[in-house]
Amino acid sequence: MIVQKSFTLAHFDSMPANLLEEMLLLIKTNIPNGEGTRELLFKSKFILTELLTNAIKHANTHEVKLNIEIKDGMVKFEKKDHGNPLILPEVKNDQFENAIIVTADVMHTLYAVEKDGVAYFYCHENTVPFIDTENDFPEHFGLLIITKATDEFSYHYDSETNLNTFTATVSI
Amino acid sequence: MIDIIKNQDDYLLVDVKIQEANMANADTFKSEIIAMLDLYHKKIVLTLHHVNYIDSTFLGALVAALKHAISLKLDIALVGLNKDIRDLLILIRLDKVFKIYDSFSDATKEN
Repeated sequence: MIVQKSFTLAHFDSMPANLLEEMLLLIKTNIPNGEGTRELLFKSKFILTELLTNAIKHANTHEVKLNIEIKDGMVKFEKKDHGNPLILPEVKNDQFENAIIVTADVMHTLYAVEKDGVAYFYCHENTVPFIDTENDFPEHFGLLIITKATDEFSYHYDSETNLNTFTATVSI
Repeated sequence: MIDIIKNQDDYLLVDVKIQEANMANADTFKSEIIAMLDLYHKKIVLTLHHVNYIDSTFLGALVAALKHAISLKLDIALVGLNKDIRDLLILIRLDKVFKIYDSFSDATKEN
């Protein structure tokens, strides 16, 4: 069985609670109820919200299409908007060969690997962090949350149509 | 948005009175809690019993407040987190930097 539903959001300043509940209910009613259900819903909740937050904060757009698809033991979240493209920094690191370092701090190294025009995000946990006012402790967690909550998270920018597409998948 | 519900010699118990802690109210929260740290110069035990949901922007504000507290040689401890919020903090390892307690009495035991 394939379940697919699109949601178009416009003129919002955060994820509307009732819409988030509707999205989570769609997922809950279309996955087998088991031990992993709570964790899947927990991840879905934060993936959906952070995809939307990303559009407002970074793409600077308030019009977004969110698509949820459930099939083949996976939940796929796709966010499309025509806001500002995500500019990945040109930072490399010998530890992560062929990867672009997106952010690096005492907690995590978030990096991306590009393949066929699509950037795939990955995360490496650094040694146990110690926070002080001298270090570069992060205050931005959106991409990190999605990367750590998903089995695969990617970004594609179509320059001809100015379309940003973020795709996040979680196994059921 | 935040209220002092107990003012002790060595800490403040502060209630976050919102249900949705998100980008719409993160800046206000950050300003209020930093002002509170500057004014009282005490450790803050922050109760999140009312908060159903938290997003990355609000987490950023919490971390900024913690950094400010540390710069004043103070601290911010968290209590009353629901399971989703606690799991989110664990997911991105913020449980390594915030002291998280199950109850207010646990949070103030070492004071």
